[in-house]
Amino acid sequence: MAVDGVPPIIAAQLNHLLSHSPFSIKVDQMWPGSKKNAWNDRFTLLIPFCLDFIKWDIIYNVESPLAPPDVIFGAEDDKFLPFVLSCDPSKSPMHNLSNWNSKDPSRLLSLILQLRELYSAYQWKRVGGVDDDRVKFEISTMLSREGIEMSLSSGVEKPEEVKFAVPLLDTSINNMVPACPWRQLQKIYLQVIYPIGRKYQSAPSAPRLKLVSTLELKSLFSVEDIKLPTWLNGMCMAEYLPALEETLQMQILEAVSLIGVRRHFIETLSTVFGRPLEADPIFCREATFLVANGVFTFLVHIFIPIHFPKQKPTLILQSSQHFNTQGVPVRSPVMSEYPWSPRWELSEMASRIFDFVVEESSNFKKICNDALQR
Amino acid sequence: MDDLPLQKVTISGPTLSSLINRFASSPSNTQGLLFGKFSLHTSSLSDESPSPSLSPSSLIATITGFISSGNSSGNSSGDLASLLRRTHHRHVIGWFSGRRRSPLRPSLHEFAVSQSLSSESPRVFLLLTTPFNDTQSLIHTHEYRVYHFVRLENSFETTPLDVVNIGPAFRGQYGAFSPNSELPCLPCNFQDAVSYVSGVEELYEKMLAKLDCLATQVEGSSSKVLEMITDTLLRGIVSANIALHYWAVMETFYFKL
Repeated sequence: MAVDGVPPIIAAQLNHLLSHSPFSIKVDQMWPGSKKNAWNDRFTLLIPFCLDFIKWDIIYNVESPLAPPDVIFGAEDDKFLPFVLSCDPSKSPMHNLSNWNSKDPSRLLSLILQLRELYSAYQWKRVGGVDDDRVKFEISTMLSREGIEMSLSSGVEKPEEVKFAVPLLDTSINNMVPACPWRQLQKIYLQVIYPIGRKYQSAPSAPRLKLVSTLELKSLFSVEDIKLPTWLNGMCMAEYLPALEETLQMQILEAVSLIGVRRHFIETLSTVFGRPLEADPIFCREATFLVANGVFTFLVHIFIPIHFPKQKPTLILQSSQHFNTQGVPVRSPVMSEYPWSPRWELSEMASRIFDFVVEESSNFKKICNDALQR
Repeated sequence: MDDLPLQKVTISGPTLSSLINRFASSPSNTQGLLFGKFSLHTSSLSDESPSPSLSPSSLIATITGFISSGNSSGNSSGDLASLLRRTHHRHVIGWFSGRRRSPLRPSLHEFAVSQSLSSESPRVFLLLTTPFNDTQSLIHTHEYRVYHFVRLENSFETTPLDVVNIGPAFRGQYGAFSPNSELPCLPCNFQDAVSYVSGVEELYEKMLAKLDCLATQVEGSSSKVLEMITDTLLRGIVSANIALHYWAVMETFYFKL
């Protein structure tokens, strides 16, 4: 959400928060609190925590914009307030708030980071208080693992659940990608959810497991493609994780090596199509070529999937001469119905795509002319 | 008395409406102190209750007035503290905070203020908000909730708020609403009041002096008349003239007075 209509002093703090946060914080909504002013001086932040979001309302006052903001936490976290105030004074955000410097744009971010750290400790304490032998055991064995987050969710109608977000792999994926464009550290997490409060069951049921990755990682690697190892009866996380991490490590190495294959493919395409107008230089997922059939010139966008060459690329043709009434160039639908075999040489693949485009060009020209007449 | 549970908070309709009015007329946020008293509520003993000694009584807080410290700003807890000092903590039972268009639950700031004030004495916290939506189109324009800060547990407890109104159902409670908090100090008008009082006192003193003077005059003339009467009686001559003269003198005196 764009930061609009926010008083400049507050906007400086909010913009710094949005652009410098180590994890992506979003603004859910903004609204004015003053009767006289239309400035937006209150907003809701969506802060990622334990593979979910926490919603905190930040209440500034446009009448005194130099004053520190006030924070209202979620309705279900009413015990978090006393936790914040009873914490170690060196970690307490109250010092930051009572010595507020509105000219320092990093203050809001450091306040939120401080509070989030406390929130993590608060949830840790709550989970630690859960009367469940398995959860107690898991906490004691997972303590050494860095960056683990946990939360206790309980609702009126829902049964209690303990959620763990376990960061996997110590190695940085960012470092594995040459010329990595990601600002935030890309991570893969295993979400483990233990249902609580079924004391009558003799053997505890397997937890619910799900792999989650940070958003930008999707251009390299999709966690949905990973088949999770089965959770055997009586297993614990410390037993389960090493095998999973080994599989992941291999899959990521493969995904990184596939970048090279795609790069090579784009280079091969340029031998038949000519020099590309545009190509994705880092993940090599996309390349655009200018093609002419007689006087009819058009662009060919080639999208290369992460599983290339097992999966074939998809194509979109875009005319550089025909525009619709809104001035947008006429485009073909996504095309993938052409002959393909993963076992072909890259040069064979490239020439087959070229043949298909030649074949399709007269058809596309007709589509373009039809669009013009309408 | 601090450790007794707070059963409920009562407020009179006019006090609540003036509090809401104060909040509605402020441009943004507002806060201040609540005045009133705590009264002991003893639960009616019945034969059926097995152990009446467990919770024999609780407190009822009655809000009778408030003072607003204007806009709540950065050092607002300082504002409240100085307000508390100015009122000498007398009859302060808690504080209130009004913030427009925000959720109806205590914020970090409000919790911190309640915690730091709880070491003094006030424990009631009244929160006023307006709904998120455009207040022009709403019938329900203000929301409020009362909390009780429990020092031992370091937490807020929602407490019911009784709004006492006119009507037979509330007759028994009228007694509780005689305002018992003093006026907050008004330093700017104090000199005027002092000079007014001394002026009135001076006037009274002058009047008293005049009365004293008159009284001695009357005393003197009365004794003179008495002397004359006894003298005449002794001489055996009773003259109606003298009696007439006496009454004339007395009449003049009363007329003068």
